[in-house]
Amino acid sequence: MPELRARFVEKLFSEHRYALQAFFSRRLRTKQDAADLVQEVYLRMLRVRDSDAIRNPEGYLFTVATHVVYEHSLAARRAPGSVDAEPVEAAAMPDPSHGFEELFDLQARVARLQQVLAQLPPKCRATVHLRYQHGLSYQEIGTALGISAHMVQKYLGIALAHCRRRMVSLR
Amino acid sequence: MTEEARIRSAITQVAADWYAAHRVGQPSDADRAAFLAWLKASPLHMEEYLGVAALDRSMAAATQETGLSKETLIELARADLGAIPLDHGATAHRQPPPSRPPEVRPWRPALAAAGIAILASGAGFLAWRSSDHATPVDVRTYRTGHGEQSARPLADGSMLRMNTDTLVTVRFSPLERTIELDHGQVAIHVVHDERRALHVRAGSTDTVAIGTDFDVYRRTDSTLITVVSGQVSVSVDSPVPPQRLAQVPAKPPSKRRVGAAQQLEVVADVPAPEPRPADLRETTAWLERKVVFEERPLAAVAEEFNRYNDIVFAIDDPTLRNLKISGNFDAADIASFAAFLGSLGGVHVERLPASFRVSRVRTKPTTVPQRS
Repeated sequence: MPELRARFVEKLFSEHRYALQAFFSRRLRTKQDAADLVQEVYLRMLRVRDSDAIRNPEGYLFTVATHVVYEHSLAARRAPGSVDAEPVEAAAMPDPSHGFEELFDLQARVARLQQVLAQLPPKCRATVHLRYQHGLSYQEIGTALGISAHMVQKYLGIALAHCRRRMVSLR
Repeated sequence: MTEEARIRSAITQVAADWYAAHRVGQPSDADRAAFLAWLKASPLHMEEYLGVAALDRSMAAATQETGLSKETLIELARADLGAIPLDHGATAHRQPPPSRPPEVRPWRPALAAAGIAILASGAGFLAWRSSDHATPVDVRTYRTGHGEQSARPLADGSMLRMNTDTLVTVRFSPLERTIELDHGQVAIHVVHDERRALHVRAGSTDTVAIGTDFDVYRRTDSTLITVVSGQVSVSVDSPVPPQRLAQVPAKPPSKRRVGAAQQLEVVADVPAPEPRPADLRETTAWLERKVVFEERPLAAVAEEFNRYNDIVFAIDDPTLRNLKISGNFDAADIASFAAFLGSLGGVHVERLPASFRVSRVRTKPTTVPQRS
């Protein structure tokens, strides 16, 4: 059962990956589009008046972001002659598994990320690998490394921020 | 480092801290409000949060490619003397989000309750084992109400999870394991037992597994079988109505093999000719009490929410019913879904006592304006 649960959680954990990545993909970067999309998502977040109604703000943010990317791809499809116009079947949700450019983009990102991860202090790095490679919970990582779950969370925060800063300079 | 870069770097750290905190359990009301306020305070906050979240996929790929074993990693960490060299002078601005109780998952209570059930069923198992040779059968009926879910460990160690509005009868004997699905949806993790295949019967549709993870969703007129891992064999007995006996020659029930990440739909006792690729995220989302949809018509998504909640979404306008939307919500979180619909241009959501009425605002288009 734990492995089944882990697998489901991993699937759900990853459910917004493609859409989120689209924000930072090369295809969008070539134009002002990515900034426009972020702006659009932000405006929609501001429209939420009754904050108490949002039980899961993170999920809500991802959902709005996913939808804005989707609407953007629809708009691009409708605009003939635009640089972004693509065959209909490829234009739906951005999915890096289709399209060599996205794939190349991903490979470059992964290679760069490996270098960035190698710069982390050992405990921090071990924490990242145990989490993302082996799928352990914070509690399990803490037990393995002899630190508290809270410390694990802190290390992950440090690692993610470090990676984000270094990956931004890549684009 | 410029002042601007310093500020951005600090924001990145706060975003990453929030992101890491969100991977553990459900946030408290206070945390939730604080996070939302932080997000809305600046588009830069939001962009950094999205940027950190977008790392996820590459993180998994980048760490997996190294193939480092757990043991190696633990050794690596133990050799560390504990210094945390931090860069960017970001710490001055840090407001680390509060820590959370570890790994509180919404369905934990259900599992704890099920822990009691496993003792009970275990006793039953022993009872019929030790009894004589009259192939005793252990029969149990489980039911969930509207909006309810539950997890049941079975006597053989398999795990049965039931979605809303579900009724099953579990029959275990030394020779066979059968789960009759009267209505509703179940996900089953089957413990391998070569001598006793596990059957899930949904009306005329029989799904057989030896050891695998799969989901069976029985609706009024159709049954959907989705395999997460391993494979199952599906057969349908076609009860031929008497008046058609003359025309239709009797044929053995046809078997279909359904493999991992595939699904097979049986409509009105007729299985699809071939399994099709399945979107496992959509199929298994209910296990986390989530509704996940990608480019699905609004009407279908609303129906999915209505399966779990007493307050329903009512949508009459045909254009709106067919509007394709994408998203991911807690199944019980209808307020967020209503807010989401309201955030789409040209959609009006009205709260009535027992429903949300979703209608179109005529003056505006239903999608965002085109971008140049």
